[in-house]
Amino acid sequence: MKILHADNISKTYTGTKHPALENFSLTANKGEIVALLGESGCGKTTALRIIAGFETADKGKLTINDQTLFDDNRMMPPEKRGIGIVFQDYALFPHKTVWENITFGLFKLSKSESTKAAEEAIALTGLTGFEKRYPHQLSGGQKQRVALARALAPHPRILLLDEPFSNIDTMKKNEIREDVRAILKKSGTTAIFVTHDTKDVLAIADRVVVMQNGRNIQNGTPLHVYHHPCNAYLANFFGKTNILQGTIVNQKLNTPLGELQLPEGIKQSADETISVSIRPTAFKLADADTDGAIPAEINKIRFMGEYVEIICTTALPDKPSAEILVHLATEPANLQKKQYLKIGENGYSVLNND
Amino acid sequence: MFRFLTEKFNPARKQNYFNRWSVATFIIGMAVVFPLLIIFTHLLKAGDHAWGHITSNLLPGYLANTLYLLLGVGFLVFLIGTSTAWLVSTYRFPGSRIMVWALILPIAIPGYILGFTWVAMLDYTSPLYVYLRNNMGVETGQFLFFNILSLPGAIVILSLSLYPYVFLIAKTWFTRQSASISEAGASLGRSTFAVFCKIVLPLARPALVGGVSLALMEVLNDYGVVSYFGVDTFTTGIFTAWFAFGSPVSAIKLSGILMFFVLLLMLTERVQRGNRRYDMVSGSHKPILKKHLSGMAGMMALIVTTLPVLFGFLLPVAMLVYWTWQTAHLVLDNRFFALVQNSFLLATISSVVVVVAAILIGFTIRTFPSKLTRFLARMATLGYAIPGAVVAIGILVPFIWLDLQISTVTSGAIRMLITGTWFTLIFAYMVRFMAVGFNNVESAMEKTSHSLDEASRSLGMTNFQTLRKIVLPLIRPGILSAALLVFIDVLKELPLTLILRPFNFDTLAIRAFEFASDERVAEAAPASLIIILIGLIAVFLLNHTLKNNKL
Repeated sequence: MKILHADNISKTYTGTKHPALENFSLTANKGEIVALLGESGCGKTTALRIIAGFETADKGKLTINDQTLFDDNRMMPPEKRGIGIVFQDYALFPHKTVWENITFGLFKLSKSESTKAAEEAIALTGLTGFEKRYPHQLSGGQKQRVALARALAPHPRILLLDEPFSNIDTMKKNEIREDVRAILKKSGTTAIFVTHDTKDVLAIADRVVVMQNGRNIQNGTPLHVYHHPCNAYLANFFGKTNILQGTIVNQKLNTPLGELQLPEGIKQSADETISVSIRPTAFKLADADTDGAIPAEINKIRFMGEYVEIICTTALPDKPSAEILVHLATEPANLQKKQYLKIGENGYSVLNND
Repeated sequence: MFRFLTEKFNPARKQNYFNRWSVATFIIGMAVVFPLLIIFTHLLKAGDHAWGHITSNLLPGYLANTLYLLLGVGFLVFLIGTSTAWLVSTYRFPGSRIMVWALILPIAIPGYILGFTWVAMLDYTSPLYVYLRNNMGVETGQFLFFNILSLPGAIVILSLSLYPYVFLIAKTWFTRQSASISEAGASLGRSTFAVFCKIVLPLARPALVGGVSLALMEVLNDYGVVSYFGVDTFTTGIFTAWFAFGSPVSAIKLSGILMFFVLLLMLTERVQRGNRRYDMVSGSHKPILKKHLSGMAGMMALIVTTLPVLFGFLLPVAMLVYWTWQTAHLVLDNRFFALVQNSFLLATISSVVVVVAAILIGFTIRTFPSKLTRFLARMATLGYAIPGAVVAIGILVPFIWLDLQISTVTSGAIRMLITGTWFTLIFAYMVRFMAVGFNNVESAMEKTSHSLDEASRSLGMTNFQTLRKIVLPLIRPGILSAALLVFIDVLKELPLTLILRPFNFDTLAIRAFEFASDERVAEAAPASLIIILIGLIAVFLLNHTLKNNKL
């Protein structure tokens, strides 16, 4: 069931030439965690602020549960929207205790209802015992929980999170990501979060919307977007990749790595150059007699800790050679100077030309 | 700025321009600009007989005196301010830690109090002169050593009370200067003094000129010192035109010319600053390692830094304390306490009005940032550049006209409804001191994150509730310092109060000034001391915030 619907929203800030958002559309289903992914300046924060009501869009339409929050004739102020927000800097009120912070948005409830809602939020976020502390007496992770509890306590129709993990130590990030996902799922909250970190997306999002230059360029599950990025920019965004040029010959993809199966739904005329992205992890070592084995000469081996990075040059007969990047989990014993590689199943994706 | 008038907009967007907040800001902004507009619109009116007399006989003198004052004070405050600031921020010498803050003290004494105190100290009957005359046979005429009631005398007095403006700016600038700059200079074989002249000073120039301009603004605003010292300038000219010649047109024209000086000063400051906003050397801010000065050099440094404090604060305050002790039984009666009460009440109401208006404007630009609201805020804070006498004339002229209309309509039943009331006076203080309140409130607001407001809105609070529950509690220190600074400014204000005060109404400042003008300086001492005391509290507060901001 769709809860949030943002339709063709555009916004250009006064004094700037390029639109921050251009015909941006987004939906969120009940209980779904949606990630808005993009580099800084791609418009993701603007999108979040427009949904929250802190910015006014130039045109477009925004509805929650079929109630219009914004269109050509309407601009509902933020306090009426029933949208919760967790800010990047948490924005905890420094002059109020944890308890006062969490009950701040519960002023419309009766005293007992408000206490109940706050206690629920505190239990949900595991903040029991911290009620009387002030924000400056909390660690970064605790602050984030308070921010989460405060935003969740009034049971918002939707929760927005602005770069929720950017202020967390790298060491603790994974743990906190999982905690946040668990809290959101437990409370059945529909959430949209903004991030520039693909690891956040892969770890907690049900769906990801990728943005570039104020536009929505791809929409899908994190795994799908990771394996089948729509363009070279996005392929690189999710980590290192090999991008090769090829042409279509006899319904096959003719690349420097040999002839690959053309994925379904790709309609491109012959003779047109198309780009293929192959993740370094898609390669496996192979024997010379394996079907489709690619001979390669190893130029360099780098030990990266979690994996081994190998740079090699392919040497298929009748094909131009290409320098490719291969990631292996461990360095195989007796690695030869000349090796055969093979591409794993579904290990490549065709990119849009842009 | 006026895009919302011309362009077709989503009606929702108009909310960002037309709302209770921006309308209130608009009204305050317009109210503050209004006296200035009156001055400029009346400027082109034909002059009367008095104006003819003024232009041919008095104007050249006003011009010359004003120019001499600006040049003299400008030179002296620069010299005293930068040299002392350089000494305390580069060297450590006996007493240097005390001098760092002691050098600010003279700012607590209004120029006119410093002026009449010094005149009385050098006067024929002063204890010092009496002692020297009777015991040493020193006889130098009416005044000891030299005639202080002169243009040079006024220049020295104004410089002594205004140099802290330059000192404060120079000190913060020199202290923030990264040590590596001086060390780089020293490693290239230059002496500390050469580094100071060739590197530190040019880098600090925009800031220093800013400080000097601030002091010169005060010179243009001054009425007390120049009138007491008999130096005729535009401010005294405005008083003469208004009270002696009874010629509002002339007062307005003189105000206009004075405003021209102010604008010229602001323009010069801006032009010299230009785009040259030298950034501090980025990276690690290693503070300057202060060099130790001992022996003769240390002694010299101590003397140079002590002199301004001695002449600008210690001696006059000691003298005022002595006089207060002498005259307390004469002065400290019920009338005096009523006077204190009057002054404090007026200053309290004014600072509350100013601070409330400042909070309103500050929150409007914070919540609805646009060129329009920022423009309005700039309008509302323009008053600080306008000399008090000019503000007074700009307000009095239209208010008298309005009173006349009311009187005519009611066939004379209601006269003087507005002029000569507390309302007029408080309105004038708001015009004049809005910037003091606003700057403090705004900088406090800037220190609180915007996301706090947004968090509050997202939790269901309206703008007004957000202001009350989140912003106000967080900026309380800023509000308090704003209120206190406006309070002291109102308490010591002279020209504006003299023109606009209700009939038979006195403030501490006016009483002190009138006593002094009647050559009863000793009796002016208690009122003066109260003003200085409150001023000192403001100075400590200022010093405290400067330290906290690490400016």
